Amino acid sequence: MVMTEEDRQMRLPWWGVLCVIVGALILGLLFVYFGRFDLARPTLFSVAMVAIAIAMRWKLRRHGWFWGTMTILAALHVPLILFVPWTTKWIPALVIIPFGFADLYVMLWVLSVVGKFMAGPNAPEGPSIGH
Amino acid sequence: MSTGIDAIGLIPGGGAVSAELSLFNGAAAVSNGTAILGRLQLGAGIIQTANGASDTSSLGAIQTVAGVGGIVAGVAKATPVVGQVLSGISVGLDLIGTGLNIAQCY
Repeated sequence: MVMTEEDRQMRLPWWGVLCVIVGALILGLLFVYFGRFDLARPTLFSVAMVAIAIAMRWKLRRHGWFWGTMTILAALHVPLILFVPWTTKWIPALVIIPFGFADLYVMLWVLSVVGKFMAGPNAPEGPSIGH
Repeated sequence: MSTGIDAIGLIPGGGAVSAELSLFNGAAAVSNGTAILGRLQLGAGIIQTANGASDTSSLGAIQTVAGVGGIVAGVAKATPVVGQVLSGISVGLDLIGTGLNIAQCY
């Protein structure tokens, strides 16, 4: 199972949401300053999805393969950000959520597969493999 | 308006926010409020999808198709944190976009 019950119950407190909004504002203004506001949305969304994937699998933080895999997955987002022609027009958040969810699901699936591979054939099932 | 619609995604299902949306008290309030919140999010998704449907460009078509997925995803509430974070980022960037649009008027 890629997505656990724990993952489904994860929520941000109100101050966490506030931090996300303020952080997006500050980083967004940086993109405006450098004249690439079109890249703000895909960059912040990609960073957010990678960060959520790391937070959801934080129990694996002591494993080198976890950070190696996350580095590769994060690097794969770079060409997606740079080579896709993004728009500065308004795109509703609820439209983006399924894509974000798909991105997160793929990353968790890759972590699950790599985890099973690294743990060997006698490893137990589940995302907490390798503990 | 775009900021307001994006902000709906910030509201997680269940808990105090849902209870505030209900006319009842206690556990029933949370359940009833969550249902109201779901309908609110569904309504926002439909507005967005309808908006995308009126756009005949390729991006508009993608938005329409994705909007349907967004409604499904919003109702399913698979991972509330994804919705919260993406909506939070959208609200922040929408505010900047609004500011840039206003600045262009002057």
